[in-house]
Amino acid sequence: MMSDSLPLHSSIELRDVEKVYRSGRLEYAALRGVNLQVDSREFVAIVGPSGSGKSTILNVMTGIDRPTAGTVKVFGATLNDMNEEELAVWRGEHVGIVFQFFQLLPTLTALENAMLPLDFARTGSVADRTDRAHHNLALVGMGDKPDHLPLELSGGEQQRVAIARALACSPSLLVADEPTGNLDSDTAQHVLELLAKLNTDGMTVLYVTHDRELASYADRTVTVKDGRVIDGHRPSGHGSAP
Amino acid sequence: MRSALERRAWRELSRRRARSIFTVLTVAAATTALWMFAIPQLSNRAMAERVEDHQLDDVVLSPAWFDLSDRQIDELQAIPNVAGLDVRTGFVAPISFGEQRQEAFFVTVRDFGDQEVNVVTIDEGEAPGHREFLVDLQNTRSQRLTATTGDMLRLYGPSGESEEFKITGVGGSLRHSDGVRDGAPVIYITHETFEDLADAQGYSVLNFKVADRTDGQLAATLNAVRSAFEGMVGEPEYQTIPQIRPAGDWPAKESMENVTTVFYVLASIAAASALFMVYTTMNAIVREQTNEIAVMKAIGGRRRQIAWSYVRSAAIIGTLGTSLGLVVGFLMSNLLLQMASTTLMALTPGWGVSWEVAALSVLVGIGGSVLASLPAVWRAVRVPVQEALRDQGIAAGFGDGWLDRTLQRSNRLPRMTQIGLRNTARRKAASLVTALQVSLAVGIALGLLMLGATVMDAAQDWRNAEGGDIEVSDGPGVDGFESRIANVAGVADVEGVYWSTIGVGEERAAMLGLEADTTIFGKDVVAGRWFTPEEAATQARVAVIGLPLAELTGVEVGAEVAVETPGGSETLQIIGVDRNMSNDGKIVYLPIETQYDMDLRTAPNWYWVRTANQDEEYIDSVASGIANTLSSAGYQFDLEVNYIDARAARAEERLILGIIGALGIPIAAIGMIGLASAMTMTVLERTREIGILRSVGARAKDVRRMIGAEGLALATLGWVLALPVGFFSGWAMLWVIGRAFNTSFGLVPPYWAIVPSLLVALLLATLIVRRPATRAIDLSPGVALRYE
Repeated sequence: MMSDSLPLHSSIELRDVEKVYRSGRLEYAALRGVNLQVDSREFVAIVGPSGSGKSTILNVMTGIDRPTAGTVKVFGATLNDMNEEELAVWRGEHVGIVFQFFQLLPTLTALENAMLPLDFARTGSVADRTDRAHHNLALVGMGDKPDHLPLELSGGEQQRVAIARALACSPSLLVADEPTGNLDSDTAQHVLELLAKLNTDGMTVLYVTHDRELASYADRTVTVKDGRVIDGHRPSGHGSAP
Repeated sequence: MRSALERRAWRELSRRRARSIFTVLTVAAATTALWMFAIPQLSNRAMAERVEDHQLDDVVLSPAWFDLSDRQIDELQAIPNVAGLDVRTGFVAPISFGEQRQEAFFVTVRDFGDQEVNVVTIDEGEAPGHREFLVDLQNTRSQRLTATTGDMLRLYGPSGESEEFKITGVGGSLRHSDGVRDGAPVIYITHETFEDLADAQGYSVLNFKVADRTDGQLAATLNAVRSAFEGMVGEPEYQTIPQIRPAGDWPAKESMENVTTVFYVLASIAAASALFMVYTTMNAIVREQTNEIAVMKAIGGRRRQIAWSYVRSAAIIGTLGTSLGLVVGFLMSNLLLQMASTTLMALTPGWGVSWEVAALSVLVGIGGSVLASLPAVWRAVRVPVQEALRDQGIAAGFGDGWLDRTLQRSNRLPRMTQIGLRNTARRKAASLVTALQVSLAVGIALGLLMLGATVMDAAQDWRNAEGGDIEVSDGPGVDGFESRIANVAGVADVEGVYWSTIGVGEERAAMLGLEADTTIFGKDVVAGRWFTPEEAATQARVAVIGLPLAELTGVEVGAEVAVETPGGSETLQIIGVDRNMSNDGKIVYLPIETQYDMDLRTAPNWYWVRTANQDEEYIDSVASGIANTLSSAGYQFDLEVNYIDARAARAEERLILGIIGALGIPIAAIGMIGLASAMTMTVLERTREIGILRSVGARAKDVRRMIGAEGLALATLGWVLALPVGFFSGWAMLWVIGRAFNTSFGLVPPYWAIVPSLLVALLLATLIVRRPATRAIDLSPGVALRYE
């Protein structure tokens, strides 16, 4: 649903959000007044052409980037009011992020990468964290390679580990920026099925893709163009292959 | 219109300013280090000016005693090619300031307002009038005599009578000031004062300088002066042959050249470490851009084109760094020269430029930067495109080695500490280079400490080796002389020795006769053995030779050596080599009984006295007691209190070590710049990863812990490597100095500095990573993730 008047019960609210990148003498408006709401447990795909601002929406929604104007509220927290340190802690507790290029730490094994957010959040004992990381790796089908370094894994396997890392702290919100961008079609399908399953289990999931077919896995597709949200219809059902 | 590749070379500099600035600073440090080579040249130039200003003599004639009228002096001054001539008297007399009594060297000046040769300058106060003193400025610097303008000095006569004289000022003379360092305090008086005090007329030295030294002019002028002089005073008995100052020579030149040797060693170390830094920095820059190089190759860039673009960047960095280094090097070399000259030569030279070193700086700064970049560029342009495009700042084989496996097993450490430690293993070669930079900085500091500790220890041993606390000479063979000294209250031991001269091959050396079981002389036999009481009793022709003399003459233990002594030709069997540096190590020790037999003597000519208490005031009081006893008994003698010599020597050693320390600062600074550069680049390389960590919940302190762990690990590794580097650099410096002095040193490693050096290395690493870490943390994760 997309509206100028946002309902109060939305879990995620972006109101009049603008984002301008400055590089030397150049300015580039990536977002030009975005209004968007996402309900709890929604499964949303954000689509649009390259440079349309879809990744920037995810970045301001997770506090990775700060909006130049407008307000961002996520699960009751107003991100505009938080400093970098507060945002880091908040992300660690509430948000799981999956990057297009996996962004695993190359010196850590799959298990250690999957444990990392738990270490930051100081959740439970080390043994508890290890169990949790093993569980998440098993959930994404990587339970048999916990001691492998990222260099020793394929692209699809690295992305699965990245998802396991995103799930570490049982986040309320999982965002994925082009999670299948570097994967073959079979692997991409497996990853999206995994995201769909996580949504079915109760997690709010947003992912960015420029592929409309891949967007059809989501309950709702939000279309972005030239820094604006131009459409936000809900397809019927989710989880079925296009 | 410039090509895109040319523009890339320029923009590379502004792309990462911190990295560019550090690289430029590294090149600047390298060129600055080269300017140490300018110091000896500049000091020679400054001294040449000083020689001119002070009208340093070219020839010294030392007749036993003579008298000339003013008219006769004028006639000598008028001899063709004589540019200046003067006559003076030099004599030694006991003085005291407070309780401290010592021998001082007095120099007379006929007219302080009209000096033609060896000008005595007035640096403070005013020239002495009749029955007034002017003290040399080196007296205080060497801590031999601290009396200054306005103080009163007591002068003792031959019969023990004394009188106080006022000091009107402080001055100096190029000819005489140098003698203070290893001789006695120098005091200048008018010749009129001397005649009044001595109740005698006459001079002991005739000095002159010539206008033209070329083509036998100097010899001809010397003959003319001698001929005229001898015509005036008859046939004088000369104490020495005429002393002709070699062209370009000046007092203290030898000391300065010895220090120069150290300058060259340190300059070489500094230049080598700085060039190493330039190489590693250039290497790091190119390595960092492996990915970009692959992109350029992927779109059709040829190796040569790409390499040229990076070489151009290196040349720009080299030019900027060299420009800065020229300015800093000029300032540093002149400031160090001022420090060394003030210390060693009591002069403040003007500022100067060594154009040869400036040219060398340009060559090494720019050429060295380009050359240093070539191996890395060569390697980078040969990496396959696909491999380079996948480059994630981690070596392909990471995880396979024992170190990687060990680090992966370090599960008990906090996660961020683990990541920091493992990051050091990501690019082992790069980490090793960074650690080597730490090791150079810390190692050279340790090496300098070892140099200082060893030299101080050796000098202390050499000083303690002979003489005891008080030395009494010039009273040889007089009945009751030794027993009168022994009976003075506070004297614990008296030992008579015999000092003479000896010729070994072409070397003139000292010959010291000692008791076989001497307790005052501190033997330091490094080869062979000392002589036995049995050998002494039989007046055996055995000797222990000083190490420098052994080195110079090639004499070894067991050799039978033909020598010339005052008693005639002899053959001595060398039974040992001793490392003491008495008479600069040009010395032969033998049983005093043997020496008596060879020189046809029967008594010592020098007494060494050990006092019951080593307190300086106590020694002063014992020295006064000995002086009073001997004076009242009518003996003629010289008395020397050794702690004054020791204090003067220590003061000089401290100053020289201060200079060496000051030279070490640029070396340590070069190491620190290299370390800062390497650590900054390491953190910059991790910026993107720091963005990821922040995205998944890492707090600022988590990131700091990771970067800190990496910095501390590299600093610790560097410190471990610094221990052998320090030992080796210290050993190398001591070896070079030992070669210069024909001696060797018992190494004194500064064990006490090992733990503090680790703490300093860790502290510096912590401070150095602080700023880049803060910058990386302050970036929003979005900016950090986009960082390239």
